[in-house]
Amino acid sequence: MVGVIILIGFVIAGFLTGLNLVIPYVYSKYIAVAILACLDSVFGAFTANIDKKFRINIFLSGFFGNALIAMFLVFIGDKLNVDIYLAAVIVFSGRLLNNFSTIRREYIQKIDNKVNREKNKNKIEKI
Amino acid sequence: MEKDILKKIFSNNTKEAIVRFVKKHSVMPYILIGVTMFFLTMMLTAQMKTVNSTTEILQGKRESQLIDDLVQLQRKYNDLKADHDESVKIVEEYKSNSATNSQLISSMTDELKRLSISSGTVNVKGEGIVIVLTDGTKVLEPDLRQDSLVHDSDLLTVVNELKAAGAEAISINGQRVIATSAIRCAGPIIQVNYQRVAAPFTVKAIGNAQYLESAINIKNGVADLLREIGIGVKITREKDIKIQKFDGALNFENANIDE
Repeated sequence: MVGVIILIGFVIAGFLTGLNLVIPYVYSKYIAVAILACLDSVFGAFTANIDKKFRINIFLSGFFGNALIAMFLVFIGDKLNVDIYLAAVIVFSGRLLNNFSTIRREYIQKIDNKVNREKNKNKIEKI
Repeated sequence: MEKDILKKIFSNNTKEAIVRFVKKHSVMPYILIGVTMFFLTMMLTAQMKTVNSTTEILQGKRESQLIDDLVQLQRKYNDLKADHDESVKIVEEYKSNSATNSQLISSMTDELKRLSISSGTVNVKGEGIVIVLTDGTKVLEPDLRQDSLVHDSDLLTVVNELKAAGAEAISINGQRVIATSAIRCAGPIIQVNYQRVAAPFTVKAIGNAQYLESAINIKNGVADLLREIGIGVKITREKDIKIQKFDGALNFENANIDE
């Protein structure tokens, strides 16, 4: 409960600071790719949590490291006149979808299990 | 003495309470994840805000979109032009009426103001951008251009681009650019309105600063081309730019009003 309140507090604080931040249009490409990287890390964390492999160190380093590397790719791409950031976008969004499908399967499995258990209970009661 | 001791005990207690609280609820991972969430939401909202606020500018639009916009604007322009013609007719009527009512006077003064701004015979001020062009020192490949100095053609392109972006008043090193202004090369210097101007060139333009800036800064636009040549381009937006009036004489000897 306390944890959820802390999380919500941080999210609201982030929202408010975001509203007051002004990013020059030139840098919006960097931020966009960084956001994708961060989202990828978050979904990755969810999947890891399902597999009971979640470790906060890995999550934190991935979150910031991925964002920085993605931004670096954009920078390099700008310098070389190649849209390398597209590679980052494709990889990150691909992984994001993969992770999401893992999460989806897991939860649907859980729901199915519950339904089956209740059915079985009903059967036993009938007998 | 007693107070100090009380304080110590109190602070120790609160500290212990905090430590106990943190251990009991295992707050630490939540805080760490919270920090990441903070960054994520911050970036998301900031990005959405910038994307929202920049959709109206030329930058980032696709060509087809721009063509659509152009067609629409042209249609709008035609409508407005019809409106304008109508109002010109009304003004004409007022003019032909000998009645000197206040409406006529105010419409005349408005017209006078508008015309003097567009002809450049008054000092004007307002929002706009200041572009500073400085000569570069880079030596270029000889087949294109020998130097990276600011040429009259460069100034002309900049001025033209500013006009296309809706600049309402332009000056180069204090020389107001009006309808009859010429910008041309005269040996080692450039003439504007037959007055010598030299580098660095400060081009001031009054108009919608956002539109002007994006018109100059657009990818592969004037600024990019000039920078490629080696010319230093510095663009600053300003809230309050003052542009001097045209201080030459306006003589029209051959042009007469055709009625």
